Amino acid sequence: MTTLALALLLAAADETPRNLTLPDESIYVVQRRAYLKRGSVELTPFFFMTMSNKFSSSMGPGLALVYHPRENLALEFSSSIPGIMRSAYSSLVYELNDAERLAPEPVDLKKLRYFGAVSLQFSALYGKFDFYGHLIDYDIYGSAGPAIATTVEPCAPAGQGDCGPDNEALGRGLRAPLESTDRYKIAASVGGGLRLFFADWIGLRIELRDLVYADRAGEGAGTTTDIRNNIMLIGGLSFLL
Amino acid sequence: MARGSVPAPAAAAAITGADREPVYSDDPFGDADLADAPLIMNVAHPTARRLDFTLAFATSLVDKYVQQTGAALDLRYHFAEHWGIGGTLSFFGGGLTDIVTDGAGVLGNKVTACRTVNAPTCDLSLGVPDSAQMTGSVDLTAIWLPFYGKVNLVSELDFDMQLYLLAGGGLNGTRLITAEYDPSSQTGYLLSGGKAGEGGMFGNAVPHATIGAGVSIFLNQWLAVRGEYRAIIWRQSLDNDGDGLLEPHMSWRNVAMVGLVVSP
Repeated sequence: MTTLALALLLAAADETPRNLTLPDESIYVVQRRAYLKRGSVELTPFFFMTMSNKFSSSMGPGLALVYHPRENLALEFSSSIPGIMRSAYSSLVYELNDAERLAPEPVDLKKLRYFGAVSLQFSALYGKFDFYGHLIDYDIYGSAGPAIATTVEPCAPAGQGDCGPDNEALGRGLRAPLESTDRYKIAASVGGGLRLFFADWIGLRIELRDLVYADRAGEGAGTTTDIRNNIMLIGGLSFLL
Repeated sequence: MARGSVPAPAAAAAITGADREPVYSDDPFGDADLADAPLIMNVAHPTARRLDFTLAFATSLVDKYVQQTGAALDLRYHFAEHWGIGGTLSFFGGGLTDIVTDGAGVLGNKVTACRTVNAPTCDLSLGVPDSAQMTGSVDLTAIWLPFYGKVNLVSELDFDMQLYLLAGGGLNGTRLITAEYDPSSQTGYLLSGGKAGEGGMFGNAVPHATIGAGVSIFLNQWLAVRGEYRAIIWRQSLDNDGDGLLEPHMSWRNVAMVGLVVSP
């Protein structure tokens, strides 16, 4: 009888866990990653556009190479493609010129020509999306690191010496800054983004990045300075190699 | 869903092919435990038939001549898993930006020119377009919510999250802030028309189009945090050059909103 009771108890104990819904099942499902990045190299052709500068904007293609030594840590080298970046003045510059005969300070009329950065990416957040029944893994990362940027500055008279032509019809040309420290600027790249994976070899990256540097421009008697924050929206297709 | 005992590791490997990459499997233990499970389990805020009530802080971004800061009240009903409709009422204060008011700005330059020649009067009207400030806005938008997911914080906390796009239209009030020459003041001018409530919420109303995108992060069953970007675009005619004729132009305001969402 005792043996029978013990057997029934053991059977009951054996049955109980099978009928329980695990309270942390949702966390379990989130924690399982469909695709691992650890040890992989990620190649991302991207397109960027600046968003924050009131007076000029820049856009163009670039390339990022990311090595993931750990699942949540990565080292990235990113660069715009030299010579292809396009920068333009905003409507604000033309409106002020046409309606008020005013121009922003020379430092505000500088244009970004190139940037490159080496960044450390840390991903503390990850998860997954349901997109019409398709599972999309993603992680959210923050990144920071040193960068380099080059700019061109306004000059006058346009079309003379090393000063370029007045292509903008603003009475100024553009030239590379004369001082080498101004020509190649030490910058910082700080940002964060979202990495979405559709399969174990392809994904999408969306990132906001602030390329920040001290800027200056001399025109006439004075020099104007500014801390330039180029907040860029970056979108790219990622390939895990 | 059938639940059985956990098979031996060798059997699990044979069933799932665990030696292949990626390591992910819908059936990691060979027990079909998760084979029919929804992609996102324990959805805290099912979208269909959800009502969201939001109070948000709103501010314009990357402003040219005017700046807007205020609050928005948003009511949103999701009639399907991926679709909703929303109404938003916003109130904005704000004023002219530094580009206009600074000593080296539009007004500063005009004042300096007038003071240099000791002019008794000075025309401080703004010649630039797009100088009307948005005072209030009412919007009706269609909302598309294609992504519902979870985010996990350092493997410890998980939150539900939803991304959406919206488009629609509505009406917004506008007002013009004007400057009068006042040589006795330090700046050389006095502004009028820019105080809180001046011009009314929907004075000089114009129709506008709205597009936007946002994210909701659900903190619990009834509370969420929402971040949203909206572009509000309208066509307005102002006499910018003082010739008595109205010149039309497109106005574009980038508005960021951050708020708390209550889903009763």
